Amino acid sequence: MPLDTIRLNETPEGVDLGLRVAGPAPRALALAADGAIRLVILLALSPLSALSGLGLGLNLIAVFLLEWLYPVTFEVLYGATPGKRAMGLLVVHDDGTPVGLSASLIRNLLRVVDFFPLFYGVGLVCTLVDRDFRRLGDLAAGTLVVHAQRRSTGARAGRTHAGGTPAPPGLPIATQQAILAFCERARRLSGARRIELAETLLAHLPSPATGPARARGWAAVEQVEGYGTWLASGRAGD
Amino acid sequence: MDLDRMSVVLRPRGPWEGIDLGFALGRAWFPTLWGLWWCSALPVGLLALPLCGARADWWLLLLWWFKPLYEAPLIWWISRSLFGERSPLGRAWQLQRAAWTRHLLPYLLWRRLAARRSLNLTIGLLEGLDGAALRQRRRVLGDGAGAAWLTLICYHFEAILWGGLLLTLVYLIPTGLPEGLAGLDLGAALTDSQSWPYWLSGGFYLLACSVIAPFYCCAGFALYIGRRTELEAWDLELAFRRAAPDATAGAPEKGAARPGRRGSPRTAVSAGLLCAAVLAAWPGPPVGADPLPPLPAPAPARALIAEVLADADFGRTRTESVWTYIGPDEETAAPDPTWLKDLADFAVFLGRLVKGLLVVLAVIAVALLIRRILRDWQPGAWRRRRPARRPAPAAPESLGADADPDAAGLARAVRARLAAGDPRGALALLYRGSIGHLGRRGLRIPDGATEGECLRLAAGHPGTGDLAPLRHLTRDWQALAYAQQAPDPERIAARLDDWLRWTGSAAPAGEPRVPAGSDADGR
Repeated sequence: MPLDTIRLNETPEGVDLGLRVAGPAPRALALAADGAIRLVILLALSPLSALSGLGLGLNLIAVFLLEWLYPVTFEVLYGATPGKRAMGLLVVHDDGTPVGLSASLIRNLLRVVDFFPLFYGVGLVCTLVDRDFRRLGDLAAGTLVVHAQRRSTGARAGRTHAGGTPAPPGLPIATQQAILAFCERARRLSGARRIELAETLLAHLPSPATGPARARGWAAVEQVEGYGTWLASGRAGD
Repeated sequence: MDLDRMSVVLRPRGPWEGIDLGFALGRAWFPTLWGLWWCSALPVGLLALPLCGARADWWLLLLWWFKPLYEAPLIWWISRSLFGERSPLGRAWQLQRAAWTRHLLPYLLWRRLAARRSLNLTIGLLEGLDGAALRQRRRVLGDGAGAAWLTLICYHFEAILWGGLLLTLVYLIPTGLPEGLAGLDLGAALTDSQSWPYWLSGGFYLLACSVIAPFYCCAGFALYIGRRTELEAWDLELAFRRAAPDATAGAPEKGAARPGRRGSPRTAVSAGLLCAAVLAAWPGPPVGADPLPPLPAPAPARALIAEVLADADFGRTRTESVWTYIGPDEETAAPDPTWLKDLADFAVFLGRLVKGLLVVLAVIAVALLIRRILRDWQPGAWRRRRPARRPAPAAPESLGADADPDAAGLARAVRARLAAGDPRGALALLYRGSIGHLGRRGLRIPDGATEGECLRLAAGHPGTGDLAPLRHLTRDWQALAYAQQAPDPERIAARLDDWLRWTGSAAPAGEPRVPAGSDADGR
């Protein structure tokens, strides 16, 4: 079984949702960013100290609110604190649903334990040991920190060509997906590699009973891209 | 390079996801990588000890500077084991000889402080390029790879682990110990390089380095793999190589055939349960050479299955009631009339009265109970007075029941039942007779054996003769007992004839009677 950081979660409809769990490195950076944001807010409030006793009290209240409510508020309202958002992370329940108030409260209350003895030492060890990179708060609340879904980049297959070549029947779904991905990622691959990949695919397909011999070189690339166009239009069009 | 034996899933990943994959790899391979790190670091540390005159700060600096030396074998091991070739830890020296090449040298000298060490070391070691080619390769692969962030973050992780270990130790030492044993001096641990706390803290730092190093190397390697997957589309190559079309799938658009899709355990379990429910009403697998035609599932059997599935064991509904505060009632706000007050006083009086009565009753009850206990109390008396346990009524059609050994008598009884219009009784009697016959032939049938198991046991037992009549009889009996399919009387009569022939052919006279299913024969 090859290793991956995707956790599949089956919905009642039988659809597998892939959650891409986030490891300690991006989470540490998000934590540092959140700490910096809180520090800036506290520094901005520091002139209040001029009001002697009252100012000090207000400052302490601000520290309390920031420390305890800042993560909960952002997680419940937006799914992630600003630091996590900047890193493209999201907090979700371990079944993939958006995190709720109680889970968020639990995981943030337990930050005290994860913080021990110094700068999230326990939390770090826990994320290194756990299979889904969860710290104690996540384990208690049943939450995961995952990479948010990226928006699809690169060219869409099938938009550049008018027609397409019908793909051989009986292609496995994985191969169809790979052909579409090939069309989308073509720009980032070198020419020689594109030819090599296209020839690999055609060599593994059965040769057509009639018609010309197997295409080589750029003709092979064009043929595979034709398959991609055909597959894409078959799905999106009529 | 054999992509098919890759031990990670190939797909385009962003740099952060790549680093996460590296951390997952580091977790999976941690014991070996950790051991390998110490295999290189310990000798270096011992050699460095006299070199730096046993000064802790120089010693630590030296060990820290030579980190790439310990990381190179790790990277070498990872590169092999990623393609399924696990070298054991016992070959650590060979791994080091393979990894310590001249490509390592720049990383021990002027490139030691480079932020992208994890990625560049991997490129240098694995691709073995030099000069301009290496520079270009580094530029192409290092583009947007996040390796500098990785190094920065891992340094902080080391610091957190080191500080955490030190602080935990300080917290654990109780205060108020006598002089000399009193707490670890944190100041000395950080600054005074001649003190023993400094050596301790140096040891902790080394431990932290060793723990983080596998993750660091794996993450650097995962970045390298991720970048090459992105540039060379390894995942597509792998998918294209597995592209042989599915001959059975007529309509590929429907997505009927999805190779590689993970079978959901939940569906498997529920399907298994359903199968089990259906199979419970289905005869066991045929044992002999001649497979019998399977029975159809008629409507009564389906009804029976539905009835079984509707049982509480397969799911239940639970109603829970809770009290919820819905606010004050307006009527209570009205002033109490006097009669209500009187009523309340009366209720209180009534309550006291009932309470007194209950107390009196309770005292009487306790007194009676004590008297009863005193009267009955004799040591061990309760055991004798317990009614003897009645034997459970024997099931009329149970398998292990002793049957009438006289074949002719049994045949008479069966015919009588048939004549009385009781095919179930007739078939049950016949089946019991068969089991009894098997028992007399010396076959031991354990309690609770199913019909199929009886048949299987009989097939493995010498001297039971041709089992075909028994097999047909068992099939009929199962159809009747579990599927409510009664055979017609003629068929039962035919089975009886078969049975008589079978017992007549196989049973010699004068055989001792051994009841089937009995455990009392002492074997």
